[in-house]
Amino acid sequence: MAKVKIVLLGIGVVAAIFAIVQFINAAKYEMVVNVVEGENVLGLNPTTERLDFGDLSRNNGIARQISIENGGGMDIFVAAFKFGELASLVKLDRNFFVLKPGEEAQISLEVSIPPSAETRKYDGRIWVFRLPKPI
Amino acid sequence: MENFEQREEQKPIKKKGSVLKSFIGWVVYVALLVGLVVGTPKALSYILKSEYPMAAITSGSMWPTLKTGDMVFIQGIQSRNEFEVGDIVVYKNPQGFTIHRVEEKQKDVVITKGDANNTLDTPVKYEDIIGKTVEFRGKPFKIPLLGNISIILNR
Repeated sequence: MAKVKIVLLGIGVVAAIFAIVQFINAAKYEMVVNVVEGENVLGLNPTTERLDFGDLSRNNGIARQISIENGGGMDIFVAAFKFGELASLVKLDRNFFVLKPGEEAQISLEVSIPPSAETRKYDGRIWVFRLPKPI
Repeated sequence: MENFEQREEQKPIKKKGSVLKSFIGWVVYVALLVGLVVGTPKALSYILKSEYPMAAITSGSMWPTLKTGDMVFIQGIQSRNEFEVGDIVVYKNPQGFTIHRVEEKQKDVVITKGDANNTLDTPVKYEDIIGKTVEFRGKPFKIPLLGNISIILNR
């Protein structure tokens, strides 16, 4: 029984270290959009530090892209997770895919402002994980 | 020496007891889990008088009131007087079920619309409305993210 406990503890520690390393290595972006009054209002802020969708009026949308490159020597599995208030309004064109060594891919994030949105700032986060693909 | 022998004799009895205890514990745990999974919808169905007491939100048409992945509870509706304009109702349609807000009650049909939609839905017959969302302090009572389990299982 004690041996089983030690093995389980070992697996748990390895899994925890793996999760922490993946969390640290994940690309983390802040997303923000400012919903404004009016029709067809669109003002993009091309900052690189965060995914700023700029000023948008209701019933409008805009897309921004994230580039992912596999510079390593083995296949990686890309998985993106959205959080926060803005997450419900952002759609990804692709998620959960494999990148071969040397390959580059873009994930397009499209934000659409529904008529029920309030005129204020909405923010959220997106974390892109690059996990080693199991053989 | 005597003490040592006594300890040696007691060891197997203790092990048997703990294995049996652990086994009973697991049986009780699994029984409770199965009871909860099977019994909760049945109990809710009885309490809320609804054939479908729980629903998962699968689209953003009711954003921000209801978000994708939310789990809501549905109160059964037996007559047309049990819901008002502004209530969020569930109705049957050829694609399945839709959860939208009542905009207008007409003589034979109900006009509904998703909060995040620009257009009204196709008018709904009164008999197709099966329930309305359970409210708490004037807002639909929902459990965020829990509906994702149902969404993933139905894929």
